[in-house]
Amino acid sequence: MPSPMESYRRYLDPKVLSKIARLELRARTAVEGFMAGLHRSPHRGVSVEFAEHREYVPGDDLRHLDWRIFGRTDRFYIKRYEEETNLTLSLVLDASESMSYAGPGQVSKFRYGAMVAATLAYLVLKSRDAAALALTDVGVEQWVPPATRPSHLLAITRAIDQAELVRRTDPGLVLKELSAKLPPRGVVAVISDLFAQPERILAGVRELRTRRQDVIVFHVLDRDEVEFPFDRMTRFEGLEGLAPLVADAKALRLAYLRAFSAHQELMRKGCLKHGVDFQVLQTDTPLDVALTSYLSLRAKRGARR
Amino acid sequence: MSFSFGNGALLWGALLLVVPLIIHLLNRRRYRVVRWAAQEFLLEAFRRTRRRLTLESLLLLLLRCLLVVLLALALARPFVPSSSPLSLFSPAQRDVVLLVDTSYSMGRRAAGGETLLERAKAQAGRVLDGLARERGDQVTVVALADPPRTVLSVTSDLQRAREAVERLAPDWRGADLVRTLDYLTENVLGEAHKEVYVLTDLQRETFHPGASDALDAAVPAAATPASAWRVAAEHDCRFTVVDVGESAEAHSLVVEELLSRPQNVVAGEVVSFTATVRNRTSRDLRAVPATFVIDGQREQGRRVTFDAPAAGVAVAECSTIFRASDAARANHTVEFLLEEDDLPADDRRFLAFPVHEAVSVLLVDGDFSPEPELRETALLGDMLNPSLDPETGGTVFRLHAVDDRRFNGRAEDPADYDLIVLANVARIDQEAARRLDDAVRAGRGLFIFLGELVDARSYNERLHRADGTGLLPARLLEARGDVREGSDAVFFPLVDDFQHPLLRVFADPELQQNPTSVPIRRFFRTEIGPKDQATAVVMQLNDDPAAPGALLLEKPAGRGRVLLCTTTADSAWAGWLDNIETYLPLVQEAAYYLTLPDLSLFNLKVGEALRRTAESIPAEVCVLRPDGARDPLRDTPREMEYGEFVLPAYRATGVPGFYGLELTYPLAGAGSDAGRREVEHFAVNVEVAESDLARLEEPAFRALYPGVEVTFVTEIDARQAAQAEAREGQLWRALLWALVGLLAAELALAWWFGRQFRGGSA
Repeated sequence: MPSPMESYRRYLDPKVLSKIARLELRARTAVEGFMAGLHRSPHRGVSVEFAEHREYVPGDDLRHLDWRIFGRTDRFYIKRYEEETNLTLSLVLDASESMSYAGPGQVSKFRYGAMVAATLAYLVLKSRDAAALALTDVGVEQWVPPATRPSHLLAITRAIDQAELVRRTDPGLVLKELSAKLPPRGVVAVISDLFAQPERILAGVRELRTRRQDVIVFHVLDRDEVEFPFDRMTRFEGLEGLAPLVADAKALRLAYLRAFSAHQELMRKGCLKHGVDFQVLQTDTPLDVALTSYLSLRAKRGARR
Repeated sequence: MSFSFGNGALLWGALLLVVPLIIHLLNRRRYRVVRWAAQEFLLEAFRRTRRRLTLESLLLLLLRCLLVVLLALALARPFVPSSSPLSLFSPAQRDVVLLVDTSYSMGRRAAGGETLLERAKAQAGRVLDGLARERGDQVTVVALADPPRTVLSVTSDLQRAREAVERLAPDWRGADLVRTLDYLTENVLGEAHKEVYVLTDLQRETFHPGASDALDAAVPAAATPASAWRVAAEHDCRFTVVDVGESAEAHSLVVEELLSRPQNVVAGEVVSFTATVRNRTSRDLRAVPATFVIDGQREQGRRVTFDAPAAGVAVAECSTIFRASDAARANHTVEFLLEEDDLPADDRRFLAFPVHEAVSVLLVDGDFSPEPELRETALLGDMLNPSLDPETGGTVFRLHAVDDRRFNGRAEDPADYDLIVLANVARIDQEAARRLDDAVRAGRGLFIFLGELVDARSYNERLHRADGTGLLPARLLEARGDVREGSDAVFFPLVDDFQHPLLRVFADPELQQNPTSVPIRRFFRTEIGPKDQATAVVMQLNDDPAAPGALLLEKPAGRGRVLLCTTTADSAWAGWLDNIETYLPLVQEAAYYLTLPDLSLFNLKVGEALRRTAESIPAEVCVLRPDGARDPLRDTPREMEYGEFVLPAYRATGVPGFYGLELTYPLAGAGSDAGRREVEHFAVNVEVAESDLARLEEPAFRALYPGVEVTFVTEIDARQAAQAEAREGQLWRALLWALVGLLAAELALAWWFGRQFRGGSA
């Protein structure tokens, strides 16, 4: 079991963070824009918005009793308020077996995705927003509920550390499950290689959208998967229980690239249709470059909006 | 469709086709392992492309295997016979027949010192130079000879062909063009196109046989060279006559004949050997040296010289006397040698002949008297032994006179004598006639004189026989003429042909009147029946110009010969006594003639089988060849009806010279032959006709064989051979092109397949 500090470092590259921090200092607007983009709902202030009443049950904090109703009706009601944070960023990190692929000299897709997740969580927590994490495969494997405490980052990285990456993925099901669990009007960042049926994924995305979630899809890919650089007789051992295949890689390349780009295109178009950001992250791209470029893009878009 | 391969062993290289197979299979086995996330897309890609991929990889594999096989095939240099449809892919294959004249005239030395056959071999070598084994060229070597023979049957092994040509030697014989062409037609020429090279000296004797002796008319039309040429030319073939002849005059003397005089050599008598030599040059030759070798005494060979006129005939002569002891030997030999000239084959001649101790004569006297002077045969005996001196007389003819009763009474066996004379014998009984018949057919001579006592019916019945198979040359009719006192009816003999052996002594014009001036006062008229085809009339009489009577008739019977004189042996009917100068030579010639040894038994032509009979079975028969080699005959002798045994024939008489037949009789054998060893000599001579070096030049050839398409060359063109060389390239050439094409196809396909895959990233 790695120490909390270690796992914290594993996913938050100090260099990346410093770059992003510098960016924050140098171009404050960009980060603000990012945040602004994230804050789709209007500012409502902390703990000011009343939401509903419910009957008192013993053990409830008496601070939340509505004395005025008690005075009028002589019954105890608890006053419930809107979420106390401005924003909740839910990070949905795919922890299925396929994410464990790493091209030679590269980090695995999962690790890259984890770094993305941790970095985003750091940024969000830093701005006192809430961050949540869901590690998913067939279902939601780990659920770290939203919190605003800075130490919450540790809880997130610890959960990532414990991921096992052995199961298949079913993002459609996962997203449906999550949509019920997530607080409404949040931002959901799906970090996955999306190796599943596009219809199911898009169905999940639609579900999130109907819950008024702002969804960002980070499509994490290894360069090998994009370019398929193999040229020899190769035995491809399928992850996630898919049958192995022995073939002349060179001969299969074209057909593979076609199938792959068709899938990606389908995802991209589907996301576009549902108003979802679709961002491809390649594991050989430095994380800071990838994130800053995306964030600045989003900031511009937010500014336009 | 049959293949042949220049380098069949390289065909094993085709097994290398397993190499691409192995590479293919190894490639399938040796792969990198990747744990792959995007397997879904890969599986889909594989599902989509699997069929095409399999097809492409199989296609490439097939191409690569084919490449290896084709390479091996090309290296093995296959060729196909021209009859094969595959021959379309190979340049024209040549099928050559070398027809080499091996008659002994090819042994002639040309101006350069080489023989014509050597020239022919060189030209044949050039023809072979133009052939290429790899192209599948084939060659057959046939000897233009008598009989023709295949020296080397069809082969593409040119080295063997070269060796076979190099081994060719002159045959010591002529060449039979007709038979050779027939042989070619039947055995060599076929469907496929053949080039026939006739390497010859174009000798007239070969190419226009019988031109000099007008035998053409006798030869059936189907067997003429012209028709044989035409039949041969009907096949798909092209004749090229390679003339290796020499037109310059040859220095050539030919020994045409070697004879003994007299032909029946008797011990103690002078015998002279005469060699007839033809001078074929256009110069008179003086004092030509020559040698007679008698009984192999080479060192002491008699050297003689003679003058030979230009284009004429000369006679060399040498005399000797054989001793009585020589008669014990089976036979003797004489060889005549000239110094070697341009054509050595005809410079020697061999003769084998028996030497008799004496000629034994049985005189059967029909008018016998104890007093020798009064006998019917008295005058005849005197004529045979003219010497009055008993010491020297009787050396040649040993006479034994008996009366006819004794003869008919079987006291005498005619087979014990060389010659039997019947003089005025009244009749012959059946048994005596049979024994006489056997004796004559076994080689004895029979001389019949007629007379007053003769019973014509008995003669006709016993000796002539109705079927003409008897010994008597003609049927006896009635006697004609009158010998009584006062009758002046006299007939005289007529002679047509003084070249008859009996009359040759009178051939001199001064002597020609001798035989015709003998008065014949009475004789038997004869009738030569239709069955007497063998009978010849030697002398006629002038009795009746329309149907002249015959005085002397002859008839061969078996190996013997019969003479019939239709008048008496003494002077009772004919004026012999007053014409001794005619009677003596006539009787002597007749006696020699009737007892002539059958020299054809011992004197053979090259290639004739050597045959002999023996009276008992020898333990061992061995042929001593001219070069001294011994060649045992192993077949069992065959018994014939006369109680003789026919020894197996010996046919390997291809070289002229003396052959000895050595007979060794078993020690425990029958009678006088027991343990005896004897050697009988056979002389084998070349045919003289072949020595005529006259040539049939091209225009004469074309005139003689119109319509026969023949190309004449004197040299095989080396350039033509070079061209043929340049055209070299057989089926393997086509294969190599196919190989190059396949290689290009393989590369293109591999590139095309590869290009498609790379295309995605571009």
